[in-house]
Amino acid sequence: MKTMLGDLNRWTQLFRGKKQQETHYAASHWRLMMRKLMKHKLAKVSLVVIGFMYVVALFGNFISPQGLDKYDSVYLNSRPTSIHFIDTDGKFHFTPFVYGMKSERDPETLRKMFVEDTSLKYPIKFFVKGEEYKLFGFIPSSIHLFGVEDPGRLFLFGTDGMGRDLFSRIVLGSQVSLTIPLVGVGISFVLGLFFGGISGYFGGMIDSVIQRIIEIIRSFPTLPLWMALSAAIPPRVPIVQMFLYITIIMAFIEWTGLARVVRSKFISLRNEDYVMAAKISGVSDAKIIIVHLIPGFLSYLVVTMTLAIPSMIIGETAMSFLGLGIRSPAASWGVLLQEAQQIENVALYPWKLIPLGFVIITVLAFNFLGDGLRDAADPYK
Amino acid sequence: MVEAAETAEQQAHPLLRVEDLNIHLPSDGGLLKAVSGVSFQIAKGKTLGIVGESGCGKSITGKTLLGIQPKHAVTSGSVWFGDVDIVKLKKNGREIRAIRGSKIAMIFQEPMTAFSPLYTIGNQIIESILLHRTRNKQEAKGMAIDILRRVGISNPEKRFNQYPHEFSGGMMQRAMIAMALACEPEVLIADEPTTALDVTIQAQVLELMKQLQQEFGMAIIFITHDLGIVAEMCDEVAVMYLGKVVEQAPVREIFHNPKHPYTRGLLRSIPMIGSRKERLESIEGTVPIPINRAPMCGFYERCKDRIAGVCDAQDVPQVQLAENHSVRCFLHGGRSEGGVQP
Amino acid sequence: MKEMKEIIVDVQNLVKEYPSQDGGGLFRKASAPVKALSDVSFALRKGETLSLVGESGCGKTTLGRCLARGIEATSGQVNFQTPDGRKIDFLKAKQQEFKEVRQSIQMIFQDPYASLNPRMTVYDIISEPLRALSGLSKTEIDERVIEMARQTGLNNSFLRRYPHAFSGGQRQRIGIARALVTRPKVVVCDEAVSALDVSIQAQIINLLKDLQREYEITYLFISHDLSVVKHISDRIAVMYLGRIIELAETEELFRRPMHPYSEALLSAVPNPDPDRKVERIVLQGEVPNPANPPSGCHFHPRCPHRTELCEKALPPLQDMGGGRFVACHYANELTLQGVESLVAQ
Repeated sequence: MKTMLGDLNRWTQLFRGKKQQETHYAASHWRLMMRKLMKHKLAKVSLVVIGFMYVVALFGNFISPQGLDKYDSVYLNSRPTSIHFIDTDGKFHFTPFVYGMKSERDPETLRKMFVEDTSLKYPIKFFVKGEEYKLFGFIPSSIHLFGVEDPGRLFLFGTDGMGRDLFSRIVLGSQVSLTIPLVGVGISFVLGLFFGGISGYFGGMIDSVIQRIIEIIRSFPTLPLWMALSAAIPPRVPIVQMFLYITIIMAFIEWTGLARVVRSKFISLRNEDYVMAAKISGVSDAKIIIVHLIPGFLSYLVVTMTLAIPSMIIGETAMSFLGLGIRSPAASWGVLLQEAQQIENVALYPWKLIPLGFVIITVLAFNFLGDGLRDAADPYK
Repeated sequence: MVEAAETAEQQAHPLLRVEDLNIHLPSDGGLLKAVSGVSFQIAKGKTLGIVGESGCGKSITGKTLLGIQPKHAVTSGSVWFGDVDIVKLKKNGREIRAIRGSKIAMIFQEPMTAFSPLYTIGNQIIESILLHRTRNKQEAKGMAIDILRRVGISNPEKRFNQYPHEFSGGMMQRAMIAMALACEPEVLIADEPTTALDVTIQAQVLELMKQLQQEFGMAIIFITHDLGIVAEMCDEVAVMYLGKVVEQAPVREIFHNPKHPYTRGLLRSIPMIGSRKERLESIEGTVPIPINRAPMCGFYERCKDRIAGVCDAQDVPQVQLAENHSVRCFLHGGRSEGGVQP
Repeated sequence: MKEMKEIIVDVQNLVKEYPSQDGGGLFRKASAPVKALSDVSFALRKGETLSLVGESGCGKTTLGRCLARGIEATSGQVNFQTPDGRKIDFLKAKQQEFKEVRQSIQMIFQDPYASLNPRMTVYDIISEPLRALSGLSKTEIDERVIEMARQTGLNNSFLRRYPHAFSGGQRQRIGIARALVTRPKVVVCDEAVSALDVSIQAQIINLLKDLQREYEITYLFISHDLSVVKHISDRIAVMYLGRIIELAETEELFRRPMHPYSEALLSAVPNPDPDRKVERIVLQGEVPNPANPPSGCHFHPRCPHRTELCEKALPPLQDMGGGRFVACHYANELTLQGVESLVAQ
């Protein structure tokens, strides 16, 4: 036996010369898929964008200069602070700075607005001490990525009607808006795999019943369904619990699509020659499912899941926008857009639409990634 | 004598003449030379067989004759049809469309792909008749029904109004032949037309093609991997390997006096019904991929008679052994420093 | 006639029905099931190659898969003779007996691309039957796999690769290694060389023959290619619409077929010799739909010798002596042409 394995090693040694070719030959399905995905430029860029978003969400409390509860009764509806390198004298500064702000009235509309007070300069500093927070929920810290010294103010994206920093709220809101879809898809993955699996494997009566239930769920108009379901949520529940409820509502609708993919793949793979071959090799049914069937459609499932995320993001945004989901002072992108409900708000304070940009970018990125994955799911072509 | 004179006359004026055809496909790994330096010609009423294994370039050659090769293919050389060079014609331009379907037609392995499931068979046959032969719809319908009858479809008036899914495999193949013949083409390119069919149905279709050839006098280019079909159908045979014609000769010469080691190996590796052998002689190894290949004999790695330092050092030129028998092999001459006799 | 070897598999009255395609809906009445196999009986002898030939839809693939229990037959028996003399009905075998016969009856598939799981390494593919059935230790399995790979002409270095690294011929070798790694007594070859190029086909046929000699394997060779069948088989069973209509020794069948369908099938094969101009019997019409088979003898609508009797009565598979079975009312009266006599001067 030793010599046999020695022989095997010898062969590998011999093939070292053709290493590149050999690594391709010995590349697993997932590696081939990854390689093909990386050839899809748009998907690659999207992957970077999505990765960046999630890193920002993860370190949200550190990156955002303000916490969720902080508000500033002075600077209501302040426009985004401009960052300067060159001061009024034309002198160049290596560290960027912001000017102080003073309120004035618009001579025409008589509305209160903020203008720069060029007499006050506050350089932007990194790793400044600020509000206390807990990183990842358990590491206490008060260091923020950037900020200016009091009484200076830095509102990258402006403030809302309560004087809250929009940038901070977008960053912290992304924690909700980006995790709800993940958790939701996770739950629908389990449900979809389970129901789709038994539907495809057993067929017959069970299959018919599950398929009819899926059709009924899918034919519900989503908006009234959300309203009904969120009406069932007690009004004063803690944020975490609220979050959980929303996720379950989303997953309840989304799993049906996944279940269908699982079922159809199950049925088509069951008729593959290699499944028949495994059966003739004496492999048990349970093992055929785990070893042959599930890995067979997992890549397609990943595609469907990736493409399901955008609709969940939009769903969460829509629910919060309608006031059915997360509520202030907690933040999600939908909650932030709530402020943009009035046309007057949008017209006077256009920066309140910035959260919309994030929704669009994220949804697009997930869609492009899904497209790339779909092309890569069958890397042998 | 008369026959010889006739052949000579036809040789002088072939219907279709392919000269030094090269088809290159750019791919991820490099330039894939699908076809290189292919030349052949075909006269009226004759059948040329192009044989070879999968990936030898026989199918793409057939498609190029009609100008329907893949879009990214880089083609050079010429395909003379009369005094028109098909390779030079603009893809999907007016000139090529006037030839395609009416002067040169093609039938495929999968008849289902040739028909749209949305229209009746009759409609689809009429379409090309209206395009090339007549503008009168009633007349066209008459012609279509006539051609359906001639390919052996019973009750053609009824079949005319049926959809492709109502036809069985053999019937579809007949319908496709009918569609190809609707405009009485001068050249018919048949790309594995019977491979997907059962033997008894294949026999029917082959008989039909022979019969129709006598009737219409068209030239047939028969692309296949089946040497049995070649023996039955063809007058002349071009054996392709790795994008090159390695041997070309009349069918008897190919079967009784093969010169190229590949042709010989191929003939020895098929089980023959008439003879009883204990072991088949096989060609060892597999077909290499023609990407970034040095100029050398394509069959070198699998050849039993290879000459190291000769066959793997240069491209093999075509050697004319007899008036109509040519081969690409150094065993039969063509070496620059003096020939080796077989 | 050669000496009769002992029977290793005895197939009795095998039936496979499929539920009808256009029945069983909510608002439609279910129609009668389609019979893919009706009452098929034959025996496989130790070390022989029995070929099943016929056109698509004749049930030859279904028969092979039922015998290897890749699909479950509706009724019938597949009696396997174990080396120690016991007789086990494979279709009803359970537990230990099932495992025993499972290892002894294996299968090689037609499509070398679809029959290998693209997500498994060659080692995992070849060792799968051993891991599932044999109870051998890890090192014993390694040893067997390496030995089998060597015998099927696969390099050891190939074992870590995935199937996408291989050409059709090499993949088929992997499939053969998987089927033979349990040292089976009977192997069903379902169109095992049909998808391969001519030169590769010869390699695989030779390999199958070498392995047969070495391990005394019995092949049930399913093919539509009669020249391959002629080359490889000892006996041939011709199938038409779910039934065996003729079963004979290879030489005998080719010399003198006794069923008109066998005759037509033989004469339809293109002969790779341009000088042998064959006078061909071209059958009219096509294979009927198995869901709605013709009355009486299923072949009668295409048969040139049909009589009124053929339209009414289904001919049974009769023993004609000399190991030959024919299902035709006029098997004794008709003088049919074999391949040799079809050759005109």
